[in-house]
Amino acid sequence: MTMARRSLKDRLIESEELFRDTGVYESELTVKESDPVTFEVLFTRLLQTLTNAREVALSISASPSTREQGEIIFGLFTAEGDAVCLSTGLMIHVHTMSRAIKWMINNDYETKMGFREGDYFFNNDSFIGGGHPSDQMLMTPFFVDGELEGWIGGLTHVTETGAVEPGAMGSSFTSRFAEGLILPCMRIAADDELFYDFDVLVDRGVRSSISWLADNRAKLTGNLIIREKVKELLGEVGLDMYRKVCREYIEDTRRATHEKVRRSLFPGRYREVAWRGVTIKNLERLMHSPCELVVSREGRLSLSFEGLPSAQRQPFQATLPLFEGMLFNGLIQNIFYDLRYNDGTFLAIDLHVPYGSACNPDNIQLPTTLWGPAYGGMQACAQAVSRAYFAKGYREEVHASGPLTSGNLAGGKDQYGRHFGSQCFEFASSGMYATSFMDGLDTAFSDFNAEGDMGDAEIWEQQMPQVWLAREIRKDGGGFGKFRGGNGIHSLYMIPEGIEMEIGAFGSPPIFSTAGLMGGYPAAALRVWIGRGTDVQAQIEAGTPLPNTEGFDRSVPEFVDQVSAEWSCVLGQNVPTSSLEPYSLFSVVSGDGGGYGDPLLRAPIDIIRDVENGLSGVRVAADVYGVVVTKDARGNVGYDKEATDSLRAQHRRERLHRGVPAAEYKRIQRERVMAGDIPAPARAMYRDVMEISPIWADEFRTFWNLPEGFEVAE
Amino acid sequence: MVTHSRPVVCYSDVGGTFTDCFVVTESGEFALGKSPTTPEDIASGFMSALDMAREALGLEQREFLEGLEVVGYGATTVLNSVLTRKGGKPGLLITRGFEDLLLMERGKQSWVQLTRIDRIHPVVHRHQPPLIQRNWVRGISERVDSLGNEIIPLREEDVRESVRDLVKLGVDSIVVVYLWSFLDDSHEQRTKEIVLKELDALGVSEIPCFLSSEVSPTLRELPRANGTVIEAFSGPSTLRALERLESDLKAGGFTGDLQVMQSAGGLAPARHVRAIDTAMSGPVGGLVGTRTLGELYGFESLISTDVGGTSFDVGLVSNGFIGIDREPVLAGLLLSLPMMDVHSVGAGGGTISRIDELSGRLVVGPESAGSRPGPVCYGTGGTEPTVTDADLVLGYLNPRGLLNGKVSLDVLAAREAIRIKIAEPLGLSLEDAADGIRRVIDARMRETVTGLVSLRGSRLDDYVLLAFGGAGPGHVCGYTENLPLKGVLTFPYAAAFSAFGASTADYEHHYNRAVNVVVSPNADDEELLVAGKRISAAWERLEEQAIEQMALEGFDRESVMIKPLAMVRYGRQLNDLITPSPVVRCRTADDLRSVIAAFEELYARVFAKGAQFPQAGYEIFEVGLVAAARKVKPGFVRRPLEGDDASAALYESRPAYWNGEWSPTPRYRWEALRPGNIVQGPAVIEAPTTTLVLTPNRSATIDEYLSVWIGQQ
Repeated sequence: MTMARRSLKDRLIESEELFRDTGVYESELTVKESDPVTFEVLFTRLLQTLTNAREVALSISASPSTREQGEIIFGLFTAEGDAVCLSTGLMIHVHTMSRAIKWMINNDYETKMGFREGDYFFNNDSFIGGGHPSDQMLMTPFFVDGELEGWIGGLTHVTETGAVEPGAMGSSFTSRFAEGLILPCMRIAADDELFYDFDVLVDRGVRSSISWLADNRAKLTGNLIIREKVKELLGEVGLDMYRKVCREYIEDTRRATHEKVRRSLFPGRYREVAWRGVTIKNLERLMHSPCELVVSREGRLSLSFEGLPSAQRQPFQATLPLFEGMLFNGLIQNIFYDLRYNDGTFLAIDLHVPYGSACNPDNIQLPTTLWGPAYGGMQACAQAVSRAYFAKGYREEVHASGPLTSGNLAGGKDQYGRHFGSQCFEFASSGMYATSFMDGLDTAFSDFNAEGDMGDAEIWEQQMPQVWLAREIRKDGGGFGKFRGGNGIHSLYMIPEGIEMEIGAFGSPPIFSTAGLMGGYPAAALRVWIGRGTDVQAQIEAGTPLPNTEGFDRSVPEFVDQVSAEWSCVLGQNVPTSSLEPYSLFSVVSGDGGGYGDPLLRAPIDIIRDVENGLSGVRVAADVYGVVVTKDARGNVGYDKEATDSLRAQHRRERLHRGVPAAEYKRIQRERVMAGDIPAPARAMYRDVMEISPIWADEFRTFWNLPEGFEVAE
Repeated sequence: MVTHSRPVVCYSDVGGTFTDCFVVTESGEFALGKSPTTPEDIASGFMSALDMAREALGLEQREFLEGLEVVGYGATTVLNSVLTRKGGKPGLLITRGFEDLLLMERGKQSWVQLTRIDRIHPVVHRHQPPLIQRNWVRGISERVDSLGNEIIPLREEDVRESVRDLVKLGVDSIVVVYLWSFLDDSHEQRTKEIVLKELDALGVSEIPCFLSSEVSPTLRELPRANGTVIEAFSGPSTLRALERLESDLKAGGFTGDLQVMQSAGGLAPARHVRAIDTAMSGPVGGLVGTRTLGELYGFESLISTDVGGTSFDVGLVSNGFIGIDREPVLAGLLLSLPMMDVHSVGAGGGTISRIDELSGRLVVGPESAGSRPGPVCYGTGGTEPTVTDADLVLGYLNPRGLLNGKVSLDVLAAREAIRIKIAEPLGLSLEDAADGIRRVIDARMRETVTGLVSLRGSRLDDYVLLAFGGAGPGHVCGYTENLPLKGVLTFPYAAAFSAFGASTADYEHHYNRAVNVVVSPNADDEELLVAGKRISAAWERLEEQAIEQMALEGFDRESVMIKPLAMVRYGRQLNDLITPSPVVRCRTADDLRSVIAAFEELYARVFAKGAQFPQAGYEIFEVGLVAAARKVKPGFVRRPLEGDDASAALYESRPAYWNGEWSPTPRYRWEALRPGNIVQGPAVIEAPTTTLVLTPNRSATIDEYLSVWIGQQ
């Protein structure tokens, strides 16, 4: 009598029930305990295989974000879709591919579509898995003796999806239908061959299909390499052993995650908040991401985001898979970097994200392109972790907030006469946060991908036809502090002659989105300057040096002074794409890192170095740091110690003079709350949050000692 | 040994710690020399190593040096200069708006050298101090676009003012890096004219000017700038050191030219070499030697595996062709220059093992104890158990020491370290813990080998694997077990194989030139002809350059072999494949079709058939050319086979740990083994500088050239 094979759905239910009932993924680690060497040898081989596959895929990709910024990851999953082992790369997607596989299982793909070896399923529906339609995954099952034994998945970020705006990440989207081609878990290959009609669909559905289609080939090839190798390994060790070690790897990581938390973080309840906002037509609203982190003595981490704003018809929000991904990405960078991260990390953490909020929308027709409070939630969580580290004494892991992601988009016809649509991913090298012992690195980091790489301008100019007139380290962008935040990039583009293109940008509203820590200042806010009808062509013909820097005066950049044009400045960085004529200028900045500690404690030598490198101005040195910079006849930079001591003393006296006792401060602010004396975007936020979250509303009223039923004025 | 044969080729590999010297005589005898490297005066360490080899041959210095036809040299001089930031004081002229280029490091340079764990742990990322400080950088108003068209004219007064300014600051060279200058170098060339004129007027005409379009004429501004800056920063001192060395050799009687190994694999006369081209010559010797042995044995596809103290370096010779990496990293700096493609992972004799505190799992590497503090058993301060300690504990290494006892080994200390730090936490016996360390490191090396072969689209059964490096023979059985290779080969001189390999290199130069060729998916004859003309013109220019260079080095046109290359990719892809061209010129549409066909065939092999994407069209943004000339090479002495009985080399039996138990294990002296001898595993074969560990299911057969073939039972 042959036993009927259990369906994947039954296996998934059983696995989830086991975890729910017992709190463990695999009760006994028998292989690890009885044969720790074989346990490790197999893992080493799996990991090396995934790493090799990633290398190959990088060579095939045509997306600058993949090839230059390394926006690619491969994973090995159990039959039920739990991640066992992952390559390096986009840590956001440790769990998002897992979600997509489980979605297919739960939605009866096994019976309705059937799974076969050589099938590849494509997904870029971020409600199912992934971050936004640019995040595109390709998953393939593998079989042993006719039974599905696991999945391989690869994910890349492509820069064009056929959205309303080119470059996939427009800030004007008000529905999912503006985001371009969204394909939920579709079979796009059989017998390891991609379907021709899918290529046709993409080719006709987006502005420039090459990066999407080449990335599909990159993922298919990577998956294929992994599948063959895993099957070879499976043949060596046998099916029972393979199944067992896979479950043990996940459970082992789950246990190690608890242990890492127990050893690293001081138990307690930590609360932080980060800020984002919406500035689109007819909707201007502040959004906050409150994070409560609870660290138990046993090493359990609980994260709650009660108090998130509601999901609405705007792009600055995220799906739950993405938000989970962002949080785990942040936690891996901050705590779990030395674990063999997989779904065991995910299982070790309790997460509460209110349904209907901007990080867990209740309507799949809403756009979720630009993440907004999800990014903030990750920053708030990282700040809370920093404080828990600090309390435990691990100063070397303590840091301020990371930079706000921003960037620019463009589309049209390029210099080779080809249609193009792309986003410039140079913002992947933004300014890093300051830590408790050093300045944040300039132009080297982004929260969503620790391996920051801006790519060479020559590569970008081949992909997008704008011409860089300047690509510099942003001056005084990083948050001030004893250790300053890293500065981001300032780029000044010129639209070349003979090119039809539209260009825009995305970022945040004009607020400080990146907080400092322990007295450090937030990073600078973002802005875009656009110059139309410029005299650049005349200046070129006259041989005048064109602008090459933003300069030190934030209110009027040097290039605005140097070029006669119809200038417009958009605070924040949300500019829907529009056509610009040749010789127009477009200036964007990437995010900067938050500062750490009191700026008056900054070593003068560090300020001198920044002034020498042209990264900080003399005015900031005096006004913020209280350091009087000097220059000798040969141009050597120094500082006047006596004048500095005196200026710093004066700054301290002024602080005391401005200071208000906390109780008094709270009383004044309460009066403002009662009177509705709050800027309109903030009032809109409070009203929204109090409506969606009665828990948060009660707490707000209690904190400010407000009357029962109090509502913020409209 | 006293030789009656004239020494003909000598090669010295100057490493960070030791200088190895390999000498071959007319009759194929080898002699090795080793001496501590002397970074302040490379000639001193070089000559000491040379003397040791000379003494081994029983020759007087003048007789020795006068006899030599070729003296080759490979060094880490440039690397050391960059690492220690000891070099010249260049100033930089760069396209206005890009003055922060070196400080920004593209972001990537802050983490590119880190381990997997550190890469995702940003608080340990660091910028490196730039080789040119920011206030010695001047922006020049000029611009060329991505099609090579001038869009902003060169502002000559910017150049003049900047030069005067920089000279006042005390620069000793001037570097020029303009965007897209590899497509149109006229702005850089004009800048150089102005710079030289200004320098002359200022009375400092000795200050050299380096152009990025001359030093590294390839796409990507940061790697191009890095290469040019390194040439200015480290080049003059490196070239002066080479001059001194050559002059010392000539004073001693050597009549030839000192030859220097280049990163792309060929030798070039010290007088004509660029420092940057020698910067990454370290791992190259092994690959060149591998190809040479392939020629000797008649194999075209080989895998070179070099197990040193800290890294496991793997390279492939496929169909006689060694792959080229065009984006190597030197001391954390991204470069764009051809280097032999060597894939490195952190696995070697000095690799440290530990127990992960969180999970209790065994972790081996990638950290290494290096040569200082070294493995615990060296007694030089190391406290963490390493792979070498495990090899010793298991009875594989001779407890009496290495290098004929010159380096003593502390077995007790190694046992204690593994017992306390690995065995007890894992609940394993001491031996099983040591065996576990070996198994994990061997697994990583194995997957690196198999991964690289599959990465290059090849099959293992096409390849013969060569194992060398001091620890290669000790682990080769582990990392090749059950791999379907055509053969596995190792050598008694495995520890000096890189120096041997370099001694077999030919004279070679690599040239690249940018072109701007986009071929649409359904290109007609006319489009192909136009594209082909551009490619041919570039090849022609490169060939002229190559012939001129080789003539300077004493080679006539007939003795120079020319191999044209095209760097082809699908439309909008970012990675191209170096495609050896089947034609020397694209004179017809079919000629270019044949180049594209060669690319398609290579692409399908390297990646997968499903990854092909002809509907995207093709782009060729660069073409290349290799010019080579043959050099006198070591002869290999073929000895008659003497039967399979190896007992004459057997000198003792000592226990070693195999498959979970201690067993008496025969130990052989490698130098006493004769051609035809066969040794069955388990056994240990010892040479002064290396040890072959033959596991129970393997055998070793000595061939006519004294190489050892490892068989699988």
